[in-house]
Amino acid sequence: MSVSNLGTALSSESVEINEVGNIKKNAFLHLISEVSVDDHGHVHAGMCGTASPNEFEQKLDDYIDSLIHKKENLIGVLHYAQEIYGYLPDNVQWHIAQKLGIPSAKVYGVVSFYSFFTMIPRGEHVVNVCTGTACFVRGADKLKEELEKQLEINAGETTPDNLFTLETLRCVGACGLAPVMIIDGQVHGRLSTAKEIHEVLAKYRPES
Amino acid sequence: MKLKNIEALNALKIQNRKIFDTRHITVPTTIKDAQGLPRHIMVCGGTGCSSSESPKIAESLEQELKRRGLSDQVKVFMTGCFGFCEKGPMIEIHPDNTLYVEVSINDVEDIVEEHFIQGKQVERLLYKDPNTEERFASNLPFYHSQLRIALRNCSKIAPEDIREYIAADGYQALAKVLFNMNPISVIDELKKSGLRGRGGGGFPTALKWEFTRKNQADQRYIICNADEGDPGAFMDRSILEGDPHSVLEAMTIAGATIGATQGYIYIRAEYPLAIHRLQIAIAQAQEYGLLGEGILGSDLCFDIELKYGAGAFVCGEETALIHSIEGTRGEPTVKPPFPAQKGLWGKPTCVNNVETLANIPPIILQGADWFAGIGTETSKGTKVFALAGKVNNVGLVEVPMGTTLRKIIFDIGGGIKHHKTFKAAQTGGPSGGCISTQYLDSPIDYESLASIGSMMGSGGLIVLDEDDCMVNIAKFFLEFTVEESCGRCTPCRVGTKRLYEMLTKITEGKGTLEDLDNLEKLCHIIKDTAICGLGQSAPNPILSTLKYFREEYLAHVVDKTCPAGVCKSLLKYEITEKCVGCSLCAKKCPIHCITGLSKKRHAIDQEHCLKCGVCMEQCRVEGAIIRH
Repeated sequence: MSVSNLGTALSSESVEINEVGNIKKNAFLHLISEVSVDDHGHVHAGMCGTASPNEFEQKLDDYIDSLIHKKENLIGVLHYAQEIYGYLPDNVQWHIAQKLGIPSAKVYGVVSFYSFFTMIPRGEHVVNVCTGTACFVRGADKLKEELEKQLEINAGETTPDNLFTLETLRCVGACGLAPVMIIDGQVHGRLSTAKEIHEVLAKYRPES
Repeated sequence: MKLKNIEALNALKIQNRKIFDTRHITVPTTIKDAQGLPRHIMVCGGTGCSSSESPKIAESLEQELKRRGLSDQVKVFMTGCFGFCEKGPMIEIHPDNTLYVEVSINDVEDIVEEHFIQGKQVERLLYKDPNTEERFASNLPFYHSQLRIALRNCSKIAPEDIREYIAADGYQALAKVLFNMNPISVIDELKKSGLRGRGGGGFPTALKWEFTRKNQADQRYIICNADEGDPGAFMDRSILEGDPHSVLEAMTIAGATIGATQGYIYIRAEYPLAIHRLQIAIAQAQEYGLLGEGILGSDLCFDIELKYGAGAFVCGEETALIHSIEGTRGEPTVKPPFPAQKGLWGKPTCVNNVETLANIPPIILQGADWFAGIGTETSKGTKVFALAGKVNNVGLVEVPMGTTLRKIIFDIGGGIKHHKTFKAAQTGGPSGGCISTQYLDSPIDYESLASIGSMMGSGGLIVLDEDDCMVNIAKFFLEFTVEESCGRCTPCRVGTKRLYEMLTKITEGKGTLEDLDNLEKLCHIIKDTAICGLGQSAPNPILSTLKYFREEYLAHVVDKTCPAGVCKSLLKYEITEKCVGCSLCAKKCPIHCITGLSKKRHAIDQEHCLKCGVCMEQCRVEGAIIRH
């Protein structure tokens, strides 16, 4: 889930993902000087030892440099990086490890522990279904099933056009509106019919 | 503009006090009498109402007021949670204290025209009691039995303006502590008050502060635990959104008392609005010199920094939280040593819950005796509950300790939705247990809840009805715990997974009596051997439901049925002799497993039936299709 108040939100244009889930070079990546995708689907974007600066990396570095205590602020740095890049591929993690002076295995350990951080790129809009207790008893299961049906993907996946990623999370504290879904940080509640869900999703679809 | 001393603080308070001339009129004002007076419209800006466009409603009100030439007389303020989330968005108009519920942008024109220009209430926007059909403009039944201490300022002040907090006696408690009290007297006062931790542990707050203070070190820390992870709980969120300065003031008082110069608020990233309000509040407090060096001209140097969670429930546990602030995986460590001895970066650290802290300023100002006079023998003061689930009035309620569950659910809560039957109330989230009908008249306090196998928890109160399967609820909680287990200790990492597997087996109709035995045994083993509170309390939902709803477990295991009609694998749909043979169900069946001749009784192929229930939904003949 993207939290737009943490750090500066840089909106990225849509990223194409081909069949094997690798990132194709696309609009926003023109900001990064060199891009290649290796056999494991890892994006190499002008880092890992090369000297070519790019806007995203500069923004991240500026943020890290502004911190008095760097190592302890790993989680804050990861939040900021994920806001910039949309996800945390291993080369971004490596870069952060270098800047903070900690082992990259430790960075990986933190990224893999916290559910907020993802190593897989997400779609343009992240749809989070709240499966907290209050939403659960008011039909979160049905909401999730209906979303899976309308988006034609399972929870945890991204639509082929990369428009939506469907995920679940536990409780944003809007229990008065149960069941809720959160799209890009915006809470949509009291959803009971397929039509209502369809209408909310339509707001995020590009106008045809 | 730093406030250099108490006199400056008091001068600012008096200067801003006039807002309460409009908002807290002691003599009730009728809408007619209010016509020529300055008016305030408080618009609920809690997460629930904000998601229902309340900021746009506020903006629209301002525009319409301007259009009608009323913007000098009538001011609009975004405020914190009113508590009655079911009926949001809500607005309250002062000084006539008129509350409008379920307001939408389309109502703005009518409100300005009828309420402000014509001077009459908009009837259709007044709350209507569903039982008596009576309309209420103020003093709604929802609020009758409530006593708002932690929530005292929510809905009364604009949380993004420190001057309003100061006008409402904000930072007076800090001034008293700095100049009229000392650490010993503060701790004594808290001891007398009987304040206990509101995060679920119920540990006496005064003792925690005392222990932290007593441990010698060159630095100590105060941490506010704002990682409200219990699904269904939103008490802390509402306090942080509606009255963030109360927490900042309390932390500064804690800093002065325990000898800390740095405080941290660890807040979960899923609360962007609360984060935003806290960022503003901290910046304002620093600007006014209420955080930083030489606060109010005293020797106290204290500052607060925000730290963000990243979606790990276990980080609500204090040692895990501390590790998360240190920038590592949020894995709990065995206690002792307790954080008061060795916490953040090895220094004595006091971790307090948001609601606990929100109670500190009123206790200091109004005195321990006042606070101790509320509640029961062992549980003093009030508790905020997030009432949710199958209840009519979902929202935030604050009641004196000792209030019965019946009062909260049937009185304040307005009873069960759709006139269904109450089955159980779940407290304490995934660490808690169920309270069944027989205990509806138990007073809610720490000890009495523990004695019936439940716990106070942080305040989440989920109401369940006849359509909820208790075995499925236990499975739901275990699914959560399995996901959130940090993985460090075997009893939790492996044990909860085995519990979840057994529950899944039971809800799929494959459970045996031996499974029930093993389930119970494993629960006790995990309780005894897990490292931290998450693991130790993970079996509670199972033990509690086994104790009070054993017959439901037996139905699943022995009879292979789900009495509540929830567990799909155990449901059986059958077409009875009432069937008229219209074939509507056969046409709608997604896998075409219904057969029959025209005008003759049809039949469902049980082997292939998906138990989706579409046939029963579509059937127009009552009793033709039944489910059991």
